[in-house]
Amino acid sequence: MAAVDAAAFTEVRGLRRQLRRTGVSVNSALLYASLAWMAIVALAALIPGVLATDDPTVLDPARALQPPGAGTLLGTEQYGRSVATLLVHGARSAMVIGLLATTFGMLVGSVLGLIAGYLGGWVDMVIGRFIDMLMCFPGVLLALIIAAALGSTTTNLILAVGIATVPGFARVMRGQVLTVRGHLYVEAARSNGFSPARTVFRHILPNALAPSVVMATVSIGVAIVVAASLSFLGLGPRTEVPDWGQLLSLGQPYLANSWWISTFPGITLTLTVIAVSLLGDWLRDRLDVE
Amino acid sequence: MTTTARTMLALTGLRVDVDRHGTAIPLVRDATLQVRAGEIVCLVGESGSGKSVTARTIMGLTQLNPRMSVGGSAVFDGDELFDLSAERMRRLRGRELAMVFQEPLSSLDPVWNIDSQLREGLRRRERVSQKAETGRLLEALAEVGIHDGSRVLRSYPHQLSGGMCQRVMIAMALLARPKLLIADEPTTALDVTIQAQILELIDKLRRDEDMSVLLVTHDMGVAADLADRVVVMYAGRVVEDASPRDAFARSAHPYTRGLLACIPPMIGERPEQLPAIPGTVPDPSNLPTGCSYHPRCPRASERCTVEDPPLTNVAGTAVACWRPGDVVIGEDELVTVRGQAS
Repeated sequence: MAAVDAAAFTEVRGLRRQLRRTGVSVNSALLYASLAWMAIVALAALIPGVLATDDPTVLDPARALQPPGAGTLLGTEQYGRSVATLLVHGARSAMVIGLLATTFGMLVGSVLGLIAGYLGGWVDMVIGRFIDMLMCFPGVLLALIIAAALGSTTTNLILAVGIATVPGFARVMRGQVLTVRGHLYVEAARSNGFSPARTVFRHILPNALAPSVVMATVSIGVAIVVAASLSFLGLGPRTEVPDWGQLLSLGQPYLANSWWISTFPGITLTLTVIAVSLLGDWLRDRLDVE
Repeated sequence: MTTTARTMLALTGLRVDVDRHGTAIPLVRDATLQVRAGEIVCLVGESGSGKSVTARTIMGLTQLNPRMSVGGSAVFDGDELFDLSAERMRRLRGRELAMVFQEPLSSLDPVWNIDSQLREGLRRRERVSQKAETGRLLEALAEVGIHDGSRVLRSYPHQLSGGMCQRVMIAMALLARPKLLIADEPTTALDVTIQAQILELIDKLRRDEDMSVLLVTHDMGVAADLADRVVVMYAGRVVEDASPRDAFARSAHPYTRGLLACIPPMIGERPEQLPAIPGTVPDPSNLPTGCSYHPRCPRASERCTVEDPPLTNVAGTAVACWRPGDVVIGEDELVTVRGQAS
């Protein structure tokens, strides 16, 4: 084990040295790789026809369970559809849910945090307790409960995942508002006679926003995973074309013989989440947030 | 000097307490002063004497903190400020009352450029066309000595020096054409050369606009230069209120004397060691009995340790001291020129 680690370590170091020699740091190499991957995912989400020419709704039992290779790049599932094609067509659902759920969570969470941080007192107490209550549940479990209660449609999935991200945004925003509120320019704005609303939206919010933006990028990755988990568990929207989570669960019974059906969606999800996180890290460094 | 001018601001028995774990701690105990139209009043004292709190309370900023409570009276141009609704008070700010803060670099919002911040302030005052607005902004910047106004307007606060930022802040205050400008140590964070320019600017604008100024400073030199009236604060109280001539040549309160003695002489032989007032400003939560200055006072008597002296008028000077008069600190022989108060 130790020998393997040491070998892997030397290899990584060698790779690093090589990259440094060519003038590319490991960080920027990873960043470009992430950007490239997200560009592919975005393209798949916007115009899937460019990347996958065959129709994902046509079933062909004759071509069922073919391994990756000659005929199809990543093999076929039990109904004869290409896994690659399904992955391309599943990108839209993953991105839409990831983006919209994060937007929802950020909007609701930030507004709650802003109100709590600015007004303080009993308002802060009430909002704080509500957030604590949400935080008692792990994100996935909370989303699961909400999705199960609301029923499985895309909108409900977005709401469920979005609500699960609300507490994080609320806390971050509240903390930032408390810091920014004490700055002299906020007092100067008040001494200029600006209304509280103007002070909050023009001077406090813009100065408190950066950490939430960074958090949003990370949150997109989390939202994609949570949405896929719910889909995997059968709480996703019922659609003709399976999304990444459903494809994972489609392959589950065939895992022993046809590993590719579940493996490739898993890898796709992993890569997407890593790419989003790396872009978030880069953004954090650029925005100079803690 | 301008005794006939009307009173713009009158503080009477101003009191500010901060609630710390249930006990009220007095930050300002008895601030009484007047600022007449077109007059510069300098509020001097050490750090922690309550000068800044007094200034911020007039602006209504202290009251925004729920832990602060304010008593006494502040009459501005005929209106009792503490009786005004929050909305009326807000309308006064940035129009009739304006304030310039101590740290120019942090008084401007870092995410907006100067143009949008000044414009925002101007719109509080009046609505004119976009073009006229720009003209007014450039005019205001020129007034404070910024002649490449269009460049400054495009700049963000971090791209400007402290002196520039302070000029911008003053320009912003002046766009309001206030009746009273409150300047809280406007030059403390700036270079000496810039200090002089900013102070001259305030003085010039005061004369041109007939504006009243309450200048908070700990620099006795500044007070001597500009003030029509010098108000000395100690431990939250006004201890002396005099014309600059009286304050400097014949200070009645031993604290004022002490402050003056600490200024190194500009000419003649320099002393080996600068004199300093022994001790520090008392903690407002633990004030000494009687006159709060008595532990540091070279002239303290038995009475000073028991009874707090009231602010009493003697020949145009108000002083809170049981044994006021002209004395030279360090001399055993006390020469009392003016009569004793009360």
